[in-house]
Amino acid sequence: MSTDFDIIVVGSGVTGGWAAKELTQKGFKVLMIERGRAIEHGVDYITETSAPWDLPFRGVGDPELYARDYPIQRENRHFTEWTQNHFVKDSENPYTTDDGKPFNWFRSYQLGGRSLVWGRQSYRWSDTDFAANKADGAGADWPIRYADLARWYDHVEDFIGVSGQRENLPQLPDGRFQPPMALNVVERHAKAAIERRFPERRLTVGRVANLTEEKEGRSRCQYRSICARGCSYGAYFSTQSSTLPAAQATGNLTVWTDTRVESVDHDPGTRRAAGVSTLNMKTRERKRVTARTIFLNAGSFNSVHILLRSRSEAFPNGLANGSGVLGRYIMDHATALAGVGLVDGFEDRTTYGNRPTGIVIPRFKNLDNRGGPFLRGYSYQGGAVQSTYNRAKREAGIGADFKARMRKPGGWRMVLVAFAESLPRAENRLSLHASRQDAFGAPLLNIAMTHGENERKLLADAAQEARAMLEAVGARVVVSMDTPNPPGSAIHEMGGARMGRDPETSVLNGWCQAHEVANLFVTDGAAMASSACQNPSLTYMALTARASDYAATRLRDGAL
Amino acid sequence: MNRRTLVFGMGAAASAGGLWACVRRGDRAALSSEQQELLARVSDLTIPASDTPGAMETQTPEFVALALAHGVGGHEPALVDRLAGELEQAGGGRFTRLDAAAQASALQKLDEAAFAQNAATGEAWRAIKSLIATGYYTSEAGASRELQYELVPGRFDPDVPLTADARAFSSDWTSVDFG
Ligand SMILES: Cc1cc2nc3c(=O)[nH]c(=O)nc-3n(C[C@H](O)[C@H](O)[C@H](O)COP(=O)(O)OP(=O)(O)OC[C@H]3O[C@@H](n4cnc5c(N)ncnc54)[C@H](O)[C@@H]3O)c2cc1C
Ligand code: SF4
Repeated sequence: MSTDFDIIVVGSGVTGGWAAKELTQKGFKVLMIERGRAIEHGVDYITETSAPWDLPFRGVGDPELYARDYPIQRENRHFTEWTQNHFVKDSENPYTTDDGKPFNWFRSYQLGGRSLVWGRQSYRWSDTDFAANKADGAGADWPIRYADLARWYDHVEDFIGVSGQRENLPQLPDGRFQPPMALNVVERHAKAAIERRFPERRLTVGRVANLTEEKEGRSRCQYRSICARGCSYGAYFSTQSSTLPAAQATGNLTVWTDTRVESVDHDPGTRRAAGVSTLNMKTRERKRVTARTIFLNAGSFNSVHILLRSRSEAFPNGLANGSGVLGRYIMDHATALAGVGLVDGFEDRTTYGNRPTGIVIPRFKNLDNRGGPFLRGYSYQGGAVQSTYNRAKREAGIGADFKARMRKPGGWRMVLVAFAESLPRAENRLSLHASRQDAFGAPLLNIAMTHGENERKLLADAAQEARAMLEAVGARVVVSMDTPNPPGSAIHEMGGARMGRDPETSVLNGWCQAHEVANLFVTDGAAMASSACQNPSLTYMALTARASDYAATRLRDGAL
Repeated sequence: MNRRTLVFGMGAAASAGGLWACVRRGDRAALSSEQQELLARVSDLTIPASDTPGAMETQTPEFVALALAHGVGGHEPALVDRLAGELEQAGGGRFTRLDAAAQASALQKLDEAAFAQNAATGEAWRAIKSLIATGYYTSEAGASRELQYELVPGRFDPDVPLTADARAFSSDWTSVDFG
């Protein structure tokens, strides 16, 4: 049967870009469909070089506007007057939550998706993570292990460029790194003090998808740390800087922007996906487009939303949902500001340049997953920061002396934010709202999620250990919290179409392929069967590259 | 005056200068001239001109008015009157009627009380002082002459001695967020 395209990729963010690159490079005609507007690399980064005094609200943004259009997005610390154009208007993109269960859903509907604004922290998972569900039973066993993904991590890191320090830690495998960025003077001191007191712990510089060495068509990082505005140097990984030009260079890519995929069309005769139904967000024109294979990369929850909306006689509860698991077992890391300590003794030291990453202290507890007071584990991200003029808001003083004092950099503080693993629980779920619809008549996505007992125990332990480490550093602890921020705050929302060995309890197999619809792949975070405690996007990319390779082989063999 | 009318009265005057112009024309959105004077005096006293421009040359009071009108930091224009009250208590008289020296000592007294541990007064002053700091250090002169502004450092030096004449970087974004 002839189709409009070989493959349709839904979404142009971190994973959609990867699917498009891999599949076009393998010779397939790919249509990439993106609901948001086009953003051209460089040209459309309109605030990239704006100074604070160029902006009406000096970078702080207009609270009136934010209250009206961005009540959720404004909660994200990366959301500023410089970056507001890279996030959705909540007012135009509603979703619902259960009473008393707030969920912060931070989103970017645009070409490039959240690849334009992400924090670029890039960590491999290990078998501590992939074996955890099986080891403690709190989740369905992953059908894959580290060995299945290792070469795909290599492949992804080689292409996007990740700078980092090799540490030889089994729980956080080393990657193919560009040279690491440097720890600052206070972080070096903290590293020495923490590792002396706790020899099994490690403090290392954040592994980050910012180039420390040039790469084809992309400059090395200029240490500005304004990445989420867009970077015309192409020095951090985004769809625009990296996967999109590679896919376009093949001549095999077609991109539709301002086009939302409403559903995946299912052909009950062949039991295959026939294509997708689309809605043009500007003209409101609805269209169907066909392909031999569909890749969903709309960002975990949106991919699930599309499947839930793809109802038919064969699949009355959503496509590929014979198991009833679709929408369930969603996760997001539980985060808390575990510790902030003032570090004296470095008043005569400073730094030059803005390093676009912090530090990480990888997981050090329960590495064998035998359990104990809690299951799984946590890690920290943070860094040592020197204060500047903000302290003028906290300190007494007026007049010439005050002004002179504020001219200098101030004291140092060490910050540790805990990221705790989120257990997959069936009651944390996505569903279609029974009655509410958006402006185009589509049922709204309902997000029902809370952090549980285990996440609280992890954060309590993380706060206690953060204080112990800050004390080892000689810092005076001024803040230490263990109450989880609202779910969604880690911006690592995942799950909802988990992969597994058993079609009765999972939606996808180990290739991110739907058990019940052979030519349907979901290769974003929806596929995740557990959450680990490290940032997930590198793993999504590796899963996408691996699934693309598998799909390509099956397509060529005529099996798809 | 209520915040709504101030905002709607502003119309397209989205920039700080624009707001002040509208304030000066005496639109219904305006702060009273006494309120303007109060904001100007406390801004000037907090960050005076020195070898670099101070709060007045950088239109910092105008930024404070704009920020209050839009609720930056959750603050409201009503804070200006509350600050007047705090100052009157500290200075023993209506602030705008005091002479310059008495104004300076009233603000000095309020500032000390407001930043003391378990401060019982000065809520309005703490809020307005924070807006003065934001306004000044994000203005062109405050950010790039009083402090240093470098958009493209080009490199990262992790350990640099801090010299006696060093100036902080207003473009240290992590510090602006967390410092
Ligand atoms: C501020 C911030 C910091 C972050 N920091 C990190 C970090 O340091 N490390 C890390 O690993 N992760 C980080 N993340 C998370 C990371 O951005 C996501 O994991 C990643 O972008 C997911 O990739 P994706 O392709 O699945 O989704 P996205 O990048 O979100 O892309 C999905 C795309 O699909 C489009 N789309 C959605 N629905 C439809 C539809 N129905 N039809 C057509 N198109 C659709 C969207 O518009 C979007 O462009 C961060 C996120 C944010 C917001
Ligand atoms: S810090 Fe590096 S990657 Fe980020 S915007 Fe600057 S040059 Fe680009």
